[in-house]
Amino acid sequence: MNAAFTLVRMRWALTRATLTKSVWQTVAYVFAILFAIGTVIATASAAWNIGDWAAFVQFRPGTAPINVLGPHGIVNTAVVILGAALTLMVGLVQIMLLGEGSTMSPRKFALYGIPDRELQFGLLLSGLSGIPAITGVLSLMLWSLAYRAMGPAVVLASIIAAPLAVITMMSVSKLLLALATTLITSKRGQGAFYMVVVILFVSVCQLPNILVNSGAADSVSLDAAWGTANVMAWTPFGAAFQLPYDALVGNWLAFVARVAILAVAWIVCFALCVWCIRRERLTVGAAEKTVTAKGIGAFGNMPDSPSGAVSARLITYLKRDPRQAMMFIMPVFVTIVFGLQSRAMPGMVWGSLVMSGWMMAIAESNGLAYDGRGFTMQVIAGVPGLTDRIGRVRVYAIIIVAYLLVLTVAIAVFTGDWASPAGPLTGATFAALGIGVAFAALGLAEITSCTLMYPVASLDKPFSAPQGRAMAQGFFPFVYMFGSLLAMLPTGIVAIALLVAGAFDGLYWLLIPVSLVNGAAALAVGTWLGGKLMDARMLSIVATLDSFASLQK
Amino acid sequence: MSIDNTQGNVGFQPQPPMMAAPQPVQPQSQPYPYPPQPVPPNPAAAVSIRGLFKRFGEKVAVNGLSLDIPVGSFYGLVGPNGAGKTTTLNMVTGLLVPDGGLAMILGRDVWSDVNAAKRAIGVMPQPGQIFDRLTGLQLLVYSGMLRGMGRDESLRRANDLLAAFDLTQAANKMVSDYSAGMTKKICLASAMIHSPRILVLDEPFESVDPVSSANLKDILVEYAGTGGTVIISSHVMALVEKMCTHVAVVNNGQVCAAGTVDEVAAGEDLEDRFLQLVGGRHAAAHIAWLDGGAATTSAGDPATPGARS
Repeated sequence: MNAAFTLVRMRWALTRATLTKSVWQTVAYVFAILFAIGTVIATASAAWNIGDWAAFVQFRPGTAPINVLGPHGIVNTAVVILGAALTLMVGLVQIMLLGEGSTMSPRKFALYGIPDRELQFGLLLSGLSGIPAITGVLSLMLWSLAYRAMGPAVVLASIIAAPLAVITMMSVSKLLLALATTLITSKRGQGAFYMVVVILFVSVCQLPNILVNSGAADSVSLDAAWGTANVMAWTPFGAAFQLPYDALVGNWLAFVARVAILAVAWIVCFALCVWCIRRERLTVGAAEKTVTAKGIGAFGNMPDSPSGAVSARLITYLKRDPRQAMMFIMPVFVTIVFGLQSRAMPGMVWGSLVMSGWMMAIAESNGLAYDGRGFTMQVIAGVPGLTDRIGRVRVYAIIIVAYLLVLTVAIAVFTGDWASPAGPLTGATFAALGIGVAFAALGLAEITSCTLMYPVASLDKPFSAPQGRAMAQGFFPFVYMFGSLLAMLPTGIVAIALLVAGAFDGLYWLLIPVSLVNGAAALAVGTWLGGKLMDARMLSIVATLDSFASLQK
Repeated sequence: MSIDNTQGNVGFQPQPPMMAAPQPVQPQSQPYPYPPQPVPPNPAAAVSIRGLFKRFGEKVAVNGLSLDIPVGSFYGLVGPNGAGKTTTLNMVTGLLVPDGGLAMILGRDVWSDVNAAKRAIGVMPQPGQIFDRLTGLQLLVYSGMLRGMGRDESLRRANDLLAAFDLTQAANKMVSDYSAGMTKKICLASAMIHSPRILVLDEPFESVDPVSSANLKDILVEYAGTGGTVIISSHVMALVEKMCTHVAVVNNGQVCAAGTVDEVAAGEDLEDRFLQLVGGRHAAAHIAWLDGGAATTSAGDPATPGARS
């Protein structure tokens, strides 16, 4: 038990040490605390307002009153479904964004001979003593204000349920992380799993939009929703959120049963985590299946020059790097999501081309950080900055044009617009806009990747979180997003001019050459300027990449 | 041996009477009767360094270091941890901007055209400084093409190097799946593919097995024999004594002694000489509780000596 509490103390000692060492970490921490306080206050105020509502509300005279606060009512259903979703999302976010804290990983304690159960308990406790967990407990406890009209037993049940829910969230996320890092040992397996998790996460986030815009939500009734919530309430994900309503209706048997479900879930999660630690210890160093590739691959196809070497290396990496491979998946995903939502707005699916183009170079906007210390090879070899930029732009430009054209054809076939009189021109205009935006974004990315770099997860451990990533990762991509739109300003001005002149319907095709020239010009300027910046900052870039690598350890 | 190597470490040369004595110089223990004169860099040397200086915050890493490395020599740079060896090599190879001083490679100032200087030399990257998701063959072809070599020539040389380093079997395997020794070898091969006139290697034999190490040494000796210059930094004195023709002992960012191995060793074992030059040896600390379990087996739990019960 002592070891467990030592781990908790160590967690906070490490946090304090990090804060004294880095100003940026301190700033990020202050923001995190402000965000946490904001969350607690917002939850409390929402709960207070909801608590003022009547149990049954008659929205229109003559219609049946709607069950809002009562058992199986809107709030009950929503709380259970959202709570269950939140529990699942905490796990996904933990895997995708936060990762295994680089300092509190079980691997770091392998040398000290701490019994597995004690170690796992310590890690769980240290997780529960963190700001996110404390924020969660406080927010959910204050949520009991929503039930204040239902009597003290319900409020008390809600207060008791708060820590139970947070312990469940923590247990589930620890388990998901342990399984992800222990069972998926091959590099390719981890890469594939990473992509599945990201897509799952984005899908869950997009689900409400898809349901509303596709019209599927219209047919959902409260009874059907409660049916789902009722099932959820008997799973560890939603059980804690149903406890106040068990207290409300006096169903103490269900109350005890749900607490038992939660307890069993914690025990199972804990046991599986311990098993993962043990398995990892027993299999550590086991020979992993090695990856082989015959011949020189992309090096045989690219131009026979230093920039060709840069291109070939980049292509090879893009194929083997799950973190950047998302770039290839997201456009298809965005198109599908837009397609599903296009019932409300038929033209929306074409807009996915512009959206895709906008996002395609987002990894490249921090491309050198993805390269990591390997970039030093280029510095050692004395490769000029412009050569590097040309090599990289060649790869991305080819991918962008080919990908967006294939997507254009696919959308034209999917929507049937290819057969309509104006369809092909509409498609060509959106394709040109997409390519123009993508080129402009790529041009900017060649500048930002030399200047606004932020740490990324290591290629070996895509689920890990380098310390200090959150702050820069939150801010720097915005420079890319807004900057690339700014770079397309000339196209925007032409579009607005056509609208103002009332000539848009007849002359919108003018946007095809304008956006292509605009994008190409931005790309040329970005490549040139990026090369100059790289020459000037070459050694600073190496130093920055070295510091990022030390964060990934 | 060039006398420049024996004239202390700040780019100054004593007056002629001292020039006649080709002895390694002690670290400025005796005042010279003659005022020191600046020594110009030697354009005929493979590497000529004068008054190189680098400071990191309060810490002076390299303190006015001067050295000439003759063409065709196998030059060992030795020194304790933190002596400034790697910092010096980084400044000479264009990987770190010096705060002061001059570094010339084959008669050209490194920092006047740093990319040209880099292309003339071969610096062995550290295992973390390579693209390890490429296969061994791809990495070598990449390294060759980066330096402007044609693809076919790069491929031919890559296959030769893989054979020379016993890596042909692993040519199509990702470098991240290599063992530490194999990775070291592929790093060295990537520095040699463009047949540079100077090879700069930082701890090249660390974690390489004895057989591979012997093969590597043969390759390097053969390379030096054909007129190439090899500069290695190492802690392993026996290796330096055996392989190198010249050695410079660096301590506190300065050269303590430099010259041929025999001159620096001055008739003693090189390791003993090294310890004399850098100092720092002291008697065993005799930590009372570090007793191999002899005291605790009689007093308490033998499994966890010193643990609180």
